Amino acid sequence: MTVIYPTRDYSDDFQENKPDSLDYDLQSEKQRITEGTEEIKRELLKKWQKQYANAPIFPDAISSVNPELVDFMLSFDLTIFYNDLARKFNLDIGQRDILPQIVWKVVVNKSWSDLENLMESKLGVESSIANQIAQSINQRIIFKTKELSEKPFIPKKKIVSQIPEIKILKLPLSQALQKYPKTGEQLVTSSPIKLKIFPDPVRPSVKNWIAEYHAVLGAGSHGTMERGNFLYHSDNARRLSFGERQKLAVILKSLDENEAVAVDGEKQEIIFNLQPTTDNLQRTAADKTLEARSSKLEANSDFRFSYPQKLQSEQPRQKSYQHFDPYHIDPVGYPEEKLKPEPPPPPPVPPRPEPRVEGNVVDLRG
Amino acid sequence: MANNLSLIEELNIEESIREPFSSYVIPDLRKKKMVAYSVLHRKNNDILLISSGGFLFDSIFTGLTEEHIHFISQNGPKEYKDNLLEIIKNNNKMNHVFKIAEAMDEDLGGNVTKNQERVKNVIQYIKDNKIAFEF
Repeated sequence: MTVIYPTRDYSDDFQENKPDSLDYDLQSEKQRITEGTEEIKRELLKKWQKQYANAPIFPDAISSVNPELVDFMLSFDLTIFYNDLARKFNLDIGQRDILPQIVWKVVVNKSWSDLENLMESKLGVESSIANQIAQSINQRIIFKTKELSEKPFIPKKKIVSQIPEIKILKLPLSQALQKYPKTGEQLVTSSPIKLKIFPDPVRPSVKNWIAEYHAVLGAGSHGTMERGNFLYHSDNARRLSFGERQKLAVILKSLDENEAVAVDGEKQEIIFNLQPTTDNLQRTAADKTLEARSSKLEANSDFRFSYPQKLQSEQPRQKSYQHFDPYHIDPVGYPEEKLKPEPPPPPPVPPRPEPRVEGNVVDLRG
Repeated sequence: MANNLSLIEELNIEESIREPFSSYVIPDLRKKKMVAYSVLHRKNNDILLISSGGFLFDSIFTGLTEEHIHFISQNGPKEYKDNLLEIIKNNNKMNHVFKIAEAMDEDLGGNVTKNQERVKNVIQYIKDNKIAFEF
């Protein structure tokens, strides 16, 4: 007996256009990403070609050799051939490595007849073995290379790196700002910054960052720890990316320590020679060390920022906020005070001499 | 760019093309292996899109094929070749390269040494044609 089951149309269940709760179409997403990736690759290739347009590809030793000959010698098949030769004649690793050096030397110098002698002397094998190896190499490589070396060719123009001349100067930031005023307007980071002395966010230019730095830490030079604290914990700087923080660190270090920065004299721009990515791992470790050190300072309540009693050396001589937690704002008169020029420090008071005591009389006249 | 990618997507893709080694900060064998696989499957043209400094990384080197190294020998500028010569001289890095290749072979199962052989071939090719790599 044949049983016929009613057919059910399942197509409704799997309609592609049936919207699911996430409205996500995997196929079109894949296509979008693929197309975007190809476009990015094309653009990267163009940039790469521009960057390496004049870079040398071959060293001088072979740059004047027929390119067809070089291509032949660079064929991967020859590596396999040398492996086979080494196996056939029981050559050790050292001998195997010398083989292609000998062949290249013979080919570049066109000293075809030297092959057998070089095999014997450099490989340290018997003349019969050297003869057999030379024969194999002659058949497989030398005959072809002789033919190619005799073929006329138009030598390719030697590609030499040409670095365009850019007028780069190295000078401290303060001098750069005076000599090249536009450098003050150069943007250091990407997002606007909120200055303590200004109600609206401002451009993150060199000058504005310096203003913020001085507003938080006070005018004058600052040490590495204070600077590090600013770079990692101040309101504006703590959200910076690694690269942005690096740039800001260069600016502030030059400001504090008069270290030279590189300036493009024509464009009036500071050039940040940040280390390429391969170094980033090391810098990340240094970065983390500095960050850890800064966090430790904050966490340690015995340190001067938050402990109410101060050590003798930490007694404020000028403005009290310079020695407190730098991010604590004294709201009373702070903005106006900051805008006024700093008063000169009081003249040093000569130390009072110790009173002389003679018997029960204390002479206070000194 | 006239594509339908968001800025973050573009940056991620560009980073994966130019600096695939930046996918890990703490080097662990599994992550290095993933990078090696991503290099292994690249076309020749895409190999040179990796930044030249990338060729100092063991994970990148482990992914190179015989075709890649042949392509680099004919088209790679000095910076790339300098770095390739440097990494093969570094015994420590070469040990790591072989560890990654071994891990890739374990994925294939059955005591296969295909990836380790491939890496040996790449190293041997650079040594054989040192004259084309050494400026």
